[in-house]
Amino acid sequence: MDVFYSALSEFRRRKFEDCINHCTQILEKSPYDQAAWTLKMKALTAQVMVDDIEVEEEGIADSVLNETMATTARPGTSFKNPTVLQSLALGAQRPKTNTGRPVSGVVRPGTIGSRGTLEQALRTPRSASSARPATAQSGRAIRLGTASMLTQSEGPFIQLSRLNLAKYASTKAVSKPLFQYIFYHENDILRAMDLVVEAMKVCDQKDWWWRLQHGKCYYIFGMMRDAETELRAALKLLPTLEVFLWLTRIYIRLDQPVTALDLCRTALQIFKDEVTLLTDIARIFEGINNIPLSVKYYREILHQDAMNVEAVACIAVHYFYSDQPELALRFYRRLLQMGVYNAELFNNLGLCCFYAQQYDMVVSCFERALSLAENENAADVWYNISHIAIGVCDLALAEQCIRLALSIDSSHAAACNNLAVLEYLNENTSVSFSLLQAASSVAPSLFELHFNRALLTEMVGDYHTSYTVVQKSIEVHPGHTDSHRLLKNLKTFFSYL
Amino acid sequence: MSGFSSRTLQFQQPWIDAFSDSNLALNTLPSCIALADLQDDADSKLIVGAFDETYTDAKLKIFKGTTQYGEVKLPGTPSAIQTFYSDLNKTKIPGIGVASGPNIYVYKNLRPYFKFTVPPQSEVNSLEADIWQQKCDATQLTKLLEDLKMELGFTNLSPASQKLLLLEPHLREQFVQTRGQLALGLRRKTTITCMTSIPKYSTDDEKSISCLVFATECAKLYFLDIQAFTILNEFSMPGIASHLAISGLYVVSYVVIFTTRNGCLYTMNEKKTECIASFSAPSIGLVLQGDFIMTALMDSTLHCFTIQGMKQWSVELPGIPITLASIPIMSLSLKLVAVSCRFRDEKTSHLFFYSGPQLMHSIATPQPVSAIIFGPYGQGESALITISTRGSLNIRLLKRTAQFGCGERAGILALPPPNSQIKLNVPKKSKLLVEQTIREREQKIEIYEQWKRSWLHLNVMTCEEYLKALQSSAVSQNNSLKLTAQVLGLGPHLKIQVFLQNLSKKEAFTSLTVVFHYNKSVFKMDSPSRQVPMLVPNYECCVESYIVCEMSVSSNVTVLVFDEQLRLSAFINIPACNCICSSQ
Repeated sequence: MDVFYSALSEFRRRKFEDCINHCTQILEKSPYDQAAWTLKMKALTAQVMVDDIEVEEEGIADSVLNETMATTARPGTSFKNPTVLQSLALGAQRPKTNTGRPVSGVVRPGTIGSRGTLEQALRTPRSASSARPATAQSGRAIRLGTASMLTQSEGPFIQLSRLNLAKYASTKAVSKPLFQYIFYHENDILRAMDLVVEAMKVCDQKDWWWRLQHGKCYYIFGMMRDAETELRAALKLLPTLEVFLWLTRIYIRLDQPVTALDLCRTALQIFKDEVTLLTDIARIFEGINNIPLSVKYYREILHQDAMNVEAVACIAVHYFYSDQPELALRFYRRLLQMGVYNAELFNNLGLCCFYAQQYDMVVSCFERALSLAENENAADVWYNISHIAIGVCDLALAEQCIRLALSIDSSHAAACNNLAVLEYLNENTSVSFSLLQAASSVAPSLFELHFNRALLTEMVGDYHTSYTVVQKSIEVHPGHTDSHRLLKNLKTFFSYL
Repeated sequence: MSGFSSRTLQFQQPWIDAFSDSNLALNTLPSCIALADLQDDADSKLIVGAFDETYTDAKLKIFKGTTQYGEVKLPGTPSAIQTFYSDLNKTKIPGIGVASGPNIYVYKNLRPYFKFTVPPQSEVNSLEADIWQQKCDATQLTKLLEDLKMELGFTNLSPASQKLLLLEPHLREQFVQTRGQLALGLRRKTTITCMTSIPKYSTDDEKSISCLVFATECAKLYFLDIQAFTILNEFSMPGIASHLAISGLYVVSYVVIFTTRNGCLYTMNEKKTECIASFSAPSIGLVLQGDFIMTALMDSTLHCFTIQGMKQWSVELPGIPITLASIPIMSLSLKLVAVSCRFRDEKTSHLFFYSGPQLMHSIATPQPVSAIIFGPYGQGESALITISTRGSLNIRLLKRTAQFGCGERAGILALPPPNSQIKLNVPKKSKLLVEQTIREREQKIEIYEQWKRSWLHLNVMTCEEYLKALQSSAVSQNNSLKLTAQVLGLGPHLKIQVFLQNLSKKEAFTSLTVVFHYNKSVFKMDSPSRQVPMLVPNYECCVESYIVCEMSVSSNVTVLVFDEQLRLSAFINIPACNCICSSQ
């Protein structure tokens, strides 16, 4: 069989390693075979290419270096200042992660860290579960760098510095694969940008594809506004889904959720019922704490794609925190039917069973969750079991569970808080106090810790500390009635002669 | 067909902003501001007793129109200023009485005119006088005075004794000697806390002769005749007065109203003293309007009483009051009370105008107002003069067409809805729930048995896990040690903080060591072993160590705490540091 034909076939069957070997054979014989050269480039690129439209974790440095962001945005127009009203209307507030974001149905980039200033990000204590990368770009770049070194033992495939970019840019069949190779495989964005500029000259700036790539390069350099103009121009040439998604991503980076939403809606008029666009909208709504609308869009996603794990999980979480665990249970069961089999799912199933009063299933779910759990999940599973134990009034067991959770993850603030409450019930006030103090330094965004500390200090008569701590609690959760009541009591006490 | 178009009522601001200067740096007290026609030329001037931030360098500043007209240096910080007429001359030149310490300085035509000193409290303890006369040395004198202090209390000693006791020991000798040379007697000086005036013979003429009334720190009230500068009357008060007002005529009858520092409101006449009310918070000012007494308290309330002692009303103020003043608007026969309020967020402050318990009008002020006075200024009949806490002066003139209470209520009073109106968001019962309850009812015994069995199983499993954790020291025995760890930094250089706390009540750990166990190919650490000082109960000890990541993978560091045996172990998750490869 012809070697090139088999290489092509292997490329189509995604056997990139064999394809590359075959291409290398051809190139050894005839070094100027453009077809083989291009195919090898494509194969190398396909090995390492990632779906870069999927949102990435915003790095600490990136969020600060951007100067265009308004520092004090109006509520609801920024991820940093989401509306609180919506969450209040729901009744119960969703619990927050250690870094201060309300929990979401799925863990995805962006749900871990809270958006804030550099100072806030640095002050948030880092552990493997809550650390944000310093910059967004480097994470991917490193992986690619090592990958290329492993595959290329006898030097790089293309000497980029010797490449005549203008020549290759004019050859249409080669220019695009070459760009992708430089962009994804070599990760040399500057040179990729040079190639884009050359190619744009050739096509007289009339090719949306090159415009999009130009925008992507700008995005990586953090030049959001330049990227925006490029992508807008690309949209004018030809409205494509990829450009819309990239533009949405830029607006999210610029912290303009409202513009991003508008853009998604216009895109939806062109691409009706497109799941990726709906997902973006739902995520943005979740980011600005507008849970009901977010759930509405997740539902729409399920109409189009009944197997969408993210949508099912997010709707389930919504039902769970709006006091309908029996409905949440049904959604989680659906996930189980779809073949998701992990500790998180069984943990959630157990919780739903317990709160929906299906007691016969609870323990078996948690046992399975424990057997499937890895290190950090296990802490959360133990924490949830302690909740069940508290629910059936087995406080000794609850304490053991919390201690186990803390032995796995010593900075589990919620567990610390609950242990403090249990210790208080055991009349170990000083232990309870020190636990609360330690926990509130780890997770300053949990108002329960502050409130409990304020209550304790008030009880022992340290009114001044209580006053300062309860103010922190109100700062974190302005609608907490008990904190307000405590503050009022303290104020009347202070003004009393 | 045409109909009437509805006309909206235009909101009318009753005040004209006549003058404002924020660079004057006028530091003053609400009681140190007065308006008077100083030269009898029907041009009223503003008198402000101002001082700098350290309460020194006091000056009497006179403003005429929009400029400063005169300035007199004061010998001490003023506590109150009162203008009065003391003679029957044809040109009515008022005197300005400035209370400062134990003295009242009287100025006329902006020149010092008279200085009156409150008679010192003569009754210095005879024992104390004896001690001072014995002419012993400083150490002995101090010792004797210390004994006397225990007997009488520090506040009842004379200022000389107080000063001696407060001096550094090596300065005492010199102090006693200088006093001996000067042969100073022992006197107890007092301080004037507040001052006002009362017309002596008639109330018809505003420029008639009056008497000065002042209260002192010794809880005494004096009536001072300002023609001869002699004390007419002297009363004992039940407490130290903080604010003073008076109504009536000296020669006929009068009522003195005052609030004390411990939050009581009293009325007092020649015969008796009566306590009207005792509040839970100190009063910040007192205003007398006809028969009504108004006072604002530090707990953000405004109260009204009649002079006979009947409570009329009380309202909650929207902010923290700073001062209040009476605003009698004769043209509208309206008597308002202006209360300056600060808000907790420190961003806004307002002047609120109350007529009775009704809020009539409000002015937003950029800075909190610390002193208010209302009256004739310049040629104008009614001017509202305010001085802010940061020393800016504002003069507002009342419009002749001014109306109050036409809907121009303060728009900032957004009160939360009462609790009863909050609707609980209880979700509807779903069909699923009903089905589940049916299942529960039908299979209750099976469900319970299954639950019981599985719960026991979970109990056993938890205990086993706990035992395992105890054996591997992941959980400390008797829960005596608590360990929390934090990782600081962005990497590759990280700082690990380990907080150790002894929670047991009985034992103290003497020779604990903290050891970090890590993968040598991933991390590098200078001092993986650290000694911990003795851990006494409830004391938190922090052990810090620096760690350098050499590979960009997230990994664990195990912390082991032991003395003779392993006490506690914990994992610290080190986040992946992605800066390493890019730096290499």
